[in-house]
Amino acid sequence: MGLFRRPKILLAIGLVIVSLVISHTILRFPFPFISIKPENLGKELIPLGPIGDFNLTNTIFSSWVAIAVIFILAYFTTRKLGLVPRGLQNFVEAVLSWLLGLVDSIAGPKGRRFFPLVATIFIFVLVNNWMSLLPGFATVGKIESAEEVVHHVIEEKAEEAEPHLTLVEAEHELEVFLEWNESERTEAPTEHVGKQIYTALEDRELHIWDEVGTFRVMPFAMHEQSMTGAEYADEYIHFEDGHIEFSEPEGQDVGLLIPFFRNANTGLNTTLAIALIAMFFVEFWGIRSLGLFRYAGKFLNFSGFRKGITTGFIDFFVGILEGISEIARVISFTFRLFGNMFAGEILLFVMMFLIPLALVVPFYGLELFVGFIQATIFAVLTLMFAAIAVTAHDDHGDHSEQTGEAAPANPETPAVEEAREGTQ
Amino acid sequence: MIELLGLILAEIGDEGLGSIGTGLAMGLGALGPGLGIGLLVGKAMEALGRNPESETAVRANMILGIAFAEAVAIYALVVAVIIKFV
Repeated sequence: MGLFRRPKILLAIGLVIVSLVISHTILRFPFPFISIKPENLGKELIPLGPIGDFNLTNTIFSSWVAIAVIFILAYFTTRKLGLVPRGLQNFVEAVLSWLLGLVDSIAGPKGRRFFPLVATIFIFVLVNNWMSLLPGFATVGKIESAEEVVHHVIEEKAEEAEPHLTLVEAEHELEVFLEWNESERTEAPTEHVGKQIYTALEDRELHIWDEVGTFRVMPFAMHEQSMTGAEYADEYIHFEDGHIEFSEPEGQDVGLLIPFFRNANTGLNTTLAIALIAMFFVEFWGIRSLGLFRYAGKFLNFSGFRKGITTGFIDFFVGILEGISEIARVISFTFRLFGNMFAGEILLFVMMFLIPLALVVPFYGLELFVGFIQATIFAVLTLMFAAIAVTAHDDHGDHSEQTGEAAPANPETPAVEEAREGTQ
Repeated sequence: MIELLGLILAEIGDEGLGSIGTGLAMGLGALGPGLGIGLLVGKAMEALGRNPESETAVRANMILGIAFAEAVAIYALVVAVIIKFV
């Protein structure tokens, strides 16, 4: 009964109920098609000579946008540098000096040579993560028409199919052939192709757009205007032996939304690339400060055999395990960032689907936090691994302090002082 | 017994088995990280109770540790998503 004496609680409950009703009637958001693979923006592969073919995916495109944003920020920050920082310069200096403090506190003054890479990773990942929370990400794009969806799926399966399928494109029409061998091809029978298309489209939900302009925005209440792939195939795909004809409802487009922008870190390619760069530099620093043989000695460790056969074997296997963990770090780097950002995207989609507009707001706050934390973790872990890589194995610990480590420290001192003067 | 199991599996079908797999992957995968995060935060709070002035250091390291533990759950999530959507 105490509940009803408090008008604020009643008001809050009422608001929740009203928002539930509104969101499930007017604002209902469709459950999106979740694709782990980044979507292709271009229709064709871009040939890059000896490197291979290149897909212009939406993750690559948004990472370019992120690079442009960082570049513009850096340009406007450094255009008018003042001794007393103000405005943008103040902000950027605050961020960088916080990062520098972080690097100093973890790797000590010797860790300053790691700073450029660590800061680059941090800023790039952070800008990508936070940019993906802007409106327009994952909601504005072009339509991949049902025709193209079918085309892609058949093309994918054509290689595996026995006998091979060959596609010939025409206006709103696909010609499909069964290729029995090099020279012999026959028109694919209706059942064969039809079955392929049905299995391809079965679990897809296609959306219907009214034809307005080239840019498409994922609107609310989209679920009113959707059909399953099987329904589409029944109504608008006409099979004849060897021919697939596509038609569309008058004045409307049917297909899937391919967003122009998608958080670069929700594609495995980007995170794998950053992880490889980070680990490459960790190994590079390790080899440069210890020398190739002493660094390799960390992983192929025979020095323990001097103390006895048992210790020798134990040390050797510890070294092998360290080598494995070095490779595992790349995988763990990749999947940690990818998983967190991809999970965040799905989380936002699902919350948008459950209660549009209202429920998603606190999760945006969570995603801001997660994006920052993941960027920090990527940078800090790179720093820690680098710091571990440049310290010699325990047995030679004291030795290295005198020879290997002291030498590069000296030329760095003026640079450190210079950097200090710069920030003051 | 085995025949009955076969019948049940046939009734569930591939898609149903996939759903069960998704649930198991996520559920079991979240078990360890849940315990880990619980332990971590518990110990951090203990440390904070003993030594309140070290709050910033404890908090920063706690969040870092949580992120590591959480990463394991995220791997499970990736596996679950792959089972479900690929």
